[in-house]
Amino acid sequence: MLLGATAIEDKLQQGVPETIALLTLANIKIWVLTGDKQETAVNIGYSCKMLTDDMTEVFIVTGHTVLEVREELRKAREKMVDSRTVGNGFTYQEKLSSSKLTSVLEAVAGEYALVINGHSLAHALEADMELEFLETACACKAVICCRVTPLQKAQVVELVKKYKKAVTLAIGDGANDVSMIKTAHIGVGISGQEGIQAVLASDYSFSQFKFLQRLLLVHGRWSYLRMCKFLCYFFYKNFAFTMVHFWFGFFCGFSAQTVYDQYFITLYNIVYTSLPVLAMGVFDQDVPEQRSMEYPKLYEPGQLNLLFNKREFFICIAQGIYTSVLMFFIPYGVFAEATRDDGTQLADYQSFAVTVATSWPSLQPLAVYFAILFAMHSNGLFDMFPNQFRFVGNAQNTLAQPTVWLTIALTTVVCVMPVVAFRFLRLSLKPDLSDTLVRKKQKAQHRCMRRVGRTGSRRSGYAFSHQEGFGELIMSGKNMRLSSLALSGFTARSSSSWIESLRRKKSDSASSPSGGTDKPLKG
Amino acid sequence: MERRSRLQLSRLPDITAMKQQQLPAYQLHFSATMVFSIFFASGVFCLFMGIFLILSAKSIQKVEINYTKTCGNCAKLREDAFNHNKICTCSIPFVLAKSMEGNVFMYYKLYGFYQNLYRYILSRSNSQLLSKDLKAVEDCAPFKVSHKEIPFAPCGAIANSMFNGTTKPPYWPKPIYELDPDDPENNGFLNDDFIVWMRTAAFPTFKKLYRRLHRIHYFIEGLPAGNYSFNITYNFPVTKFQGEKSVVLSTLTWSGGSSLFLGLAYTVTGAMTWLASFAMLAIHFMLKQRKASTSKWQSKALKGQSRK
Repeated sequence: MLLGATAIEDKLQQGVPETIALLTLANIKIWVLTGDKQETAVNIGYSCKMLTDDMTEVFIVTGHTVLEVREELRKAREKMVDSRTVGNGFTYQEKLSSSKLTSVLEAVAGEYALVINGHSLAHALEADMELEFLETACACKAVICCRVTPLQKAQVVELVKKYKKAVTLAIGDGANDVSMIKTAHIGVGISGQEGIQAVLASDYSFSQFKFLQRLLLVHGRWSYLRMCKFLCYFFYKNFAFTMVHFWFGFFCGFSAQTVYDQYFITLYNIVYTSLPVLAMGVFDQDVPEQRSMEYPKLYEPGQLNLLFNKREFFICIAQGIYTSVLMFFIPYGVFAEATRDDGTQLADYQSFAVTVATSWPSLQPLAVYFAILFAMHSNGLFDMFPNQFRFVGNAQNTLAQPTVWLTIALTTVVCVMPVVAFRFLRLSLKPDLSDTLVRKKQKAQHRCMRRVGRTGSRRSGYAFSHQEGFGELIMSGKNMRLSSLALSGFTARSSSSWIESLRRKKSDSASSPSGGTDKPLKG
Repeated sequence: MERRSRLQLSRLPDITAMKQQQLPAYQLHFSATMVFSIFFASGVFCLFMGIFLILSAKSIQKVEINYTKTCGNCAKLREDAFNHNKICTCSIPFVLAKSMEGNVFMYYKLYGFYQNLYRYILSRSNSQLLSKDLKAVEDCAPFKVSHKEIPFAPCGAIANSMFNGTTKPPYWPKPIYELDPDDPENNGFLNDDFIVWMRTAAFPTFKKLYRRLHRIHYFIEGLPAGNYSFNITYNFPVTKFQGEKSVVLSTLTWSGGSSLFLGLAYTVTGAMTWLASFAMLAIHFMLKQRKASTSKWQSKALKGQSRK
């Protein structure tokens, strides 16, 4: 007779399965490193949908010696490779060398998972086997390491960092995660029940696991985008600005005479061009945040380093040089033969300087530029420091000439038009995901992107035991003093029905697509 | 439960639009209509502006006479600094086929004189020129003080190399207060020629205003057609540095000067913008057709499948 049953509920936080599914769609590999025992870890894997019932196979590595672990890893690899070659009809008989291994394992068919114990991990992380272990693990869709010590967590992260050249993020909430958080490129601490050691050691911290998706897909992605645009723009403006002096050198006997007023040069980076750059670097958004979360594929350019690499850098530089050519030679061409409308010369050094410098603000905040320009060229400052502020009255005079404004307008047009044309053509011919998303502002839901399993209710997921556990042992009455007759009859009936109901439940949950709420076991 | 909620509140980050990255943003996206309209409009504007500028530049009349080597052997004479006392004059005739109407300006034009050299531009003293401190000559090296330790007025290389029939400190035959014997107002630092020269030019080839036509009596309408000649006192040596000098007579328009560059540049820009916009329009339509044809094909394929 069963007197009672105890069950321990290990609640997952809200939104964990969805987050994991979304991050997997964003091409992020997720590994679980936990100190729990194997059964708990596997159950948690099932409940947060890292492991699914329709996975081809879940490899469990529990060897206690180096040889056993090696053997188990080799068998896992063979199975993965075999599944790939089954369709072709060939089988790989010989042992593959490690270099061939990488290419073969990258194209496995089917989804695999690897579960490895702490003591096996200790052997697998040895110098001669770590690469094998890493290749096997990376070929699997999900990796769960259980009974892992804090040191081993750090070692696993270190292994991935060293060989995979990927950016690693470690997220944890307890003091045993601190070493892993510190080792990874980005450490995230979850502040909550287990105290704040993880938070103190981390780069970012928040209170729920599900905030990770916003951190990565919105904040992280925008941060990368902004940084790249900022860098490109910074190099461009400085190149354009400085190359003008290079061209002027040909005309001033290479005497290092500056084209601009010295105060323009001093204030250029600080005042004139700082605001637009900062604004872009802090506020720029290419796609609204909801779309960022809906389309994890937008995360890819950051992973593939597409927005600022050698090619982009050289394009920036080329644009800078092109702008500098225009910005010098157009005013030069105009001023070489020009006069003012009252006959006096226009082509004096200071007027030229003012014209070239004013061509810039077509791309910058005009008001700031003009305010400072007129202040610098004012009589007041010249009176006070005649040898410092030499450009007296120049702005007012030069900028009253229609020729000067026409020159500036022409320079602006010729600088900007090719860029607009290129961008438009690129949008028409090769739009990438963010461009198409910007256009599709009004569309409603998109089916294909949302492959996240729907949780109907807002209750958190439950982990429950897939194994039989000790129920049968208890029910068999071997550790209870009751009449054997009554017990045996009761045992036979209830144990079979219990097992059958368990099997039925398992098949039910496997067939239905939505996870639903899995109720804890009832006797 | 209550304690937890209080804890949560204390650790809750600010929910402001700025910190939660929820600021409104506007993305400039290049729709076809916008791009094409901008390109066409700017093309039209540039074309018209260019034609207008070319026409106004063409309406200017200009006479330029390069007298570097044509003024007898004055060039050779001036190459030797010891000949600075010797006066060398010549007279160069020229013919105006059409009369020059309106204001006529006379310039002297120098080729190959780098007034934009770094040390040259530095070598002046604005305090001295403003009469704030006549002795402030530090920047004017090497033309600071004479061998008698008297500071030059005006000091500096710019002043020293002044273009005129005559020059002083230390190569000026006349001091600054005697630059213009006819007009007492036009002496000292306020001398027009001096001021014009001190305004350093941007390029090695430049022209500076020398005189204006005084429209009285016979010249009230401008310069009528006929035979003229320039009487030149050749003083400024240019052949030593392979430079040249000429005198220019020119009328003016609103856009100033007879340079065709701006007009041409505008016309070329307008034409290229138009060509570019036509090319982009063509590409745009080709793409649209291709998309339409592929989607038609796709829908046909789907229909075929569904029927089966």
